[in-house]
Amino acid sequence: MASHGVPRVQPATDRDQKKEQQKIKDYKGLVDSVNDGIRGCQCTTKTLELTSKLLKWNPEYYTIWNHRRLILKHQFEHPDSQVTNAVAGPDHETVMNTISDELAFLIPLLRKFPKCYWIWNYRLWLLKDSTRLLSVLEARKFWQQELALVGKMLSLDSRNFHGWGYRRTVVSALEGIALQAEGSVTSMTEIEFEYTTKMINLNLSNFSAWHNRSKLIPILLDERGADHLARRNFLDEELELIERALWAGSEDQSLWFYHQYLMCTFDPKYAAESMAPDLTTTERSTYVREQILKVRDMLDGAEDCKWIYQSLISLSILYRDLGNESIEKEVAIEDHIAELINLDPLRAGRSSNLLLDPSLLIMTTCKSVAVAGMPTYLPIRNFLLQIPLLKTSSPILTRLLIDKSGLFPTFIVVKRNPFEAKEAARMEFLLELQPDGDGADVNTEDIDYFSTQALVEVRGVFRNFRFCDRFINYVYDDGFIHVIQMLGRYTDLTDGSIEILGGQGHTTQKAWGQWRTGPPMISLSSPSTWALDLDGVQPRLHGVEFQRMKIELGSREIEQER
Amino acid sequence: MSLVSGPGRGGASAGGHVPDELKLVVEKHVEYIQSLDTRQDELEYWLTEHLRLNGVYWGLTALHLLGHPDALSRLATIDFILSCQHENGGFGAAPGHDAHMLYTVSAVQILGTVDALEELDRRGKAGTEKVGKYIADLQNQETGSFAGDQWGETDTRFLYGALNALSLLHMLRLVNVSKAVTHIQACANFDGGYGVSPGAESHAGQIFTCVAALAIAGRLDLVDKDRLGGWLSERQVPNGGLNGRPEKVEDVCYSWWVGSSLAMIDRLHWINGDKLAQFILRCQDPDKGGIADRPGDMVDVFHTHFGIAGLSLIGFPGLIAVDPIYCMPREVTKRLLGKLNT
Ligand SMILES: [Zn+2]
Repeated sequence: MASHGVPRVQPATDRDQKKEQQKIKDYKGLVDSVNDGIRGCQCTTKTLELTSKLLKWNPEYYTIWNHRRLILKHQFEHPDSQVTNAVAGPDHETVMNTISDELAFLIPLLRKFPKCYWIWNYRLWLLKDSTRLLSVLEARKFWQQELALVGKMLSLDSRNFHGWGYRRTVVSALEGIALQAEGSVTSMTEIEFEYTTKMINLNLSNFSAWHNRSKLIPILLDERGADHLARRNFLDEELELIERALWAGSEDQSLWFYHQYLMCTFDPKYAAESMAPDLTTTERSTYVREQILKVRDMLDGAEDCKWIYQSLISLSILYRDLGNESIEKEVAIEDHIAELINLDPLRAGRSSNLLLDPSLLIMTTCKSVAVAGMPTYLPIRNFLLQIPLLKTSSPILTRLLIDKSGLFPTFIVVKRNPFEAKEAARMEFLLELQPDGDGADVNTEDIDYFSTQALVEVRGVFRNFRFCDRFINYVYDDGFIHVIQMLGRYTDLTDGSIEILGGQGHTTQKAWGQWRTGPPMISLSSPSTWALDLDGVQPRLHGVEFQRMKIELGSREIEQER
Repeated sequence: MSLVSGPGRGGASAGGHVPDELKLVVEKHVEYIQSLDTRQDELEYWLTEHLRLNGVYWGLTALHLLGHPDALSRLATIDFILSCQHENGGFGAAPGHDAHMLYTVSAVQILGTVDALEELDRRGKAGTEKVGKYIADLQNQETGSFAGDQWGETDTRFLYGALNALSLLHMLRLVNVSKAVTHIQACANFDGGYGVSPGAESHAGQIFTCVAALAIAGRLDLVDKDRLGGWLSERQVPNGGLNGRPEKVEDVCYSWWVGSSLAMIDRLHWINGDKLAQFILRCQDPDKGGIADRPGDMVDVFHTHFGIAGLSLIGFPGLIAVDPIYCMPREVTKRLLGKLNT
C-alpha cells in the first residue's frame, strides 16, 4: 500500500519466511471466519469479537468496519429477547453500554493508527448514533468526552490534520440543535477562539491553529454583534499579535499566510468578507502604508528573508491600487522582485509573473532589472508575442500567434473558444500549435479553430520559436532564449477589441542540455527578467514609433494611438 | 490481481552521493509493477487486499505513462475489475469487499484506459446506467456534497471522484453539478486553497480534488489562481520535493497533488520543474524498480504511479502526457471525452 516513511528492510531469511507463511495462514483464517459470520447473518457477540481481532490487526480493511456497524445496528434494533421492554425501540442501557465499549475499543487503535480514515469514520458514526438513539443529556456526554479526547490528541500532535477536522466536527455537533438541552451553550466560538490563541502561544508555527482562527473570527464578531469600532479594535489586536509573532520568526510561512489573511481587510477584492468590511479607502491606505513601513523595518538584520520582500511587493501593489503614489521613490517594486528572484530561485517563475501586474507595467519605463552577468540592454532579435488570457472563463479566448509576412508579422487571433469552457484554463498557451523551422508556417491541423485573423503593426522578425506542450512559450537564438509576454486586456467584450498594455520578458541562457530528446524548455533558475511597457519596447524594436495599440478583432483594421 | 505491495527501496545511495545524471529506469519500473501480482507469499499482499483495485489503477496508469500499455494482460485486468462489482453498480476494492465511491471511480478509470467501458453493459453485474446511478445516489441533495458509501462519510475526494467518473461515462446529467460547485466554494479558504469540508484547513490533496472538480464542471473561474498558485508554489522545499501543507515534509505523491493543481490553474512554472524531477528520480529504486515517498524509503506502487505522473506533468522526456484533471493518459481522456461530443 502507500507506505510513508518506511525505511528499507533487510531481505527475509528462511526462518522469517516460515513465520511469514504461518502469519498469512492465521490472517486468512480470521478473515474467512468473519466473512462466514456475516454471510450467515450471525450478528452475534462472537462475530463482533472476531471483527475486533481482525481490525486490530488491519484497521484499513474497511469492509470489516461496515460488518461491525451491521452487527451493532442489528443489536440496537433487536434488543436481547430476554430483556422485555415495554417501549418499542432500542434499549437505552444496551445502546449506552455498547457505544461506550465501542468508543473505548477504538482508543488504542487510534493511538496506533492515527491517520487511518476508517477508524475516525466509524467513531463518528457511533457518536451520531448516540445522538439518534439516546436522550440529549446522554448523547451530549459522549460528545463532550470527545472534545476532551481530541484536545489531548492535539496537545500531543498539534498539526494533526484529522485531529483539527475532528475537533470542528465535534464542536459543530455540540452546537447543533439535536444536542441542545436547557442551559447548554449554543455557541462555542469564543471557547474555540481562545483555544487557537492557546495553541498559537504554545507554538507559533501552527498553521492549523492560524487557519482555524481565520475561520472563527467572522463568526465571533457577528455573534458579539461587533460594530465598526469594535471590529477595528479587534483588527488592531490581531495585527499586533501577528507583528509580534513575525518579529520572533520572520522565516515562518504560517505567520506570513496569516498576515496575508489580515491584509485582505484592506483589499477591495476581499474586504467584504473580512473582519472589518466597512473601512474607508483612506483608512485602508493608512493601514497599508503603516504595514509597508513596519514590514520594511523587519529587513534590518533579515535582508535575505524572502517573505519580507514578497510581502512588501504585494503591499506596495495594494497601496497603489488604492490610489496612492508609491511610498518609496528610491526603491522600486521591481527591485524587490529582482531581490526575491535572487533569494528564492525555486519560485522565480512566480516572481517574474508579478511583473505582469498591469499597474506595474504602466509605470515602468523600460527599466531593466539587472541580474548579475546579464547585459542591461538586450538585443532582442527573435522574440515571441503572446497575449495571455485574462479572463479564463470568457467564452472568447484570445491568442495571438505571429507569422512572418513581409514587414509586419501576422497575428492569428483566436477569437472563438474552440473548446468547452472547462478547457479554457488549459489553453493559457497555444498547446496545439507548433510552427516549425523559421516560423514561416503555422503548421497544425488545429488551425481551423482560429476563425479570425487580423494584422497587427509590430515590427520584428519572429523565428525559431515553437510552442511548448506545457510550460511557457519560448524562442531562442544562438546565445539566449527570450520570452516576451505582452499583456492585453479586453476593452470591449462585445466587439472583442483588446488593448495592449505592456509585457514582460525573460532572457536566460540556453539551458536545455539535459532535455535534448524533447523540445527545449526554459529553465527559470537564473533568468534575467525585465518589465517593459510599449514605450520601452519601442526603442528596441528598431525605433518604430508606436505607443499603445488597439487591435480590432474580427477585422483587419488597425488603430494606433499616439 | 494485485499491484499493491512490494519490497524495494528508493534511491541507490540514501544520504550519499547523488549522480548528476539521474535516469528514469523505465524497464525496471515496468518489471516492478508486473511483479506485484506474484507476491502471494508475503503477508503484506493479504493485508493490502482493501487496495487491490486502486493498485491496478496506479500500476496500469503508470505503465501507460511509461509507454508500456500492454505490460499487463488487458483481459485479466477487465476480468478482475468486473469481479469487484456489486449488483447495485458500485465496486469494492476486491471481490467480497463492500462497494465504495473510491473503487467505483478507479474501476471506471481503468475500464476507460483499456477501452473496455462497454464491457459493463456486456458482462458486468450491473450496466453503465446502474454504475452512474450508484455514484449519483451518493450526492447529498441539500448540500451538493458526496458521500463515500451508504455510511455517509463526506469528503471533497468523493465529490471529485463522482464528477471524474460520471464525466468519463457521459452521465454528469445525473447529478446536480452547480450544487456540487457551491459545496466546493464553501470549502475554500483565505489562502486560496480548499479543505476536506467547509472550515477545514487547506491541504494539497484536497486542493487537487476541488480544483479538478471545478475544471470538470467548467468553473475554474472561481479559483483565486494567483493566491492559490502562491500557496502551492511554497510547497516546494529546497531539495526540489513538494509537501502538502506548510512546514510538513516533502513526499513524492505531492508531486502530483501540487503539480497537477498548478497545471490546472496555469501556474506550473511557479515551481522549479528540473529540481522536482531530480527529487523524484532520487526516490527510485534503481535496481529493482519502483518509487518511494522519499529517498531511501520502501517503494510502493502508489508513489511509483504518482512519481511517474509528476514527471509526465512537467514534461519529462520519453513519458506519455498525463491529463492533470483526470490523472490518466491525456490521449485516453481525449478519446473518452471526445465521444461526449459525438
Ligand atoms: Zn506520499
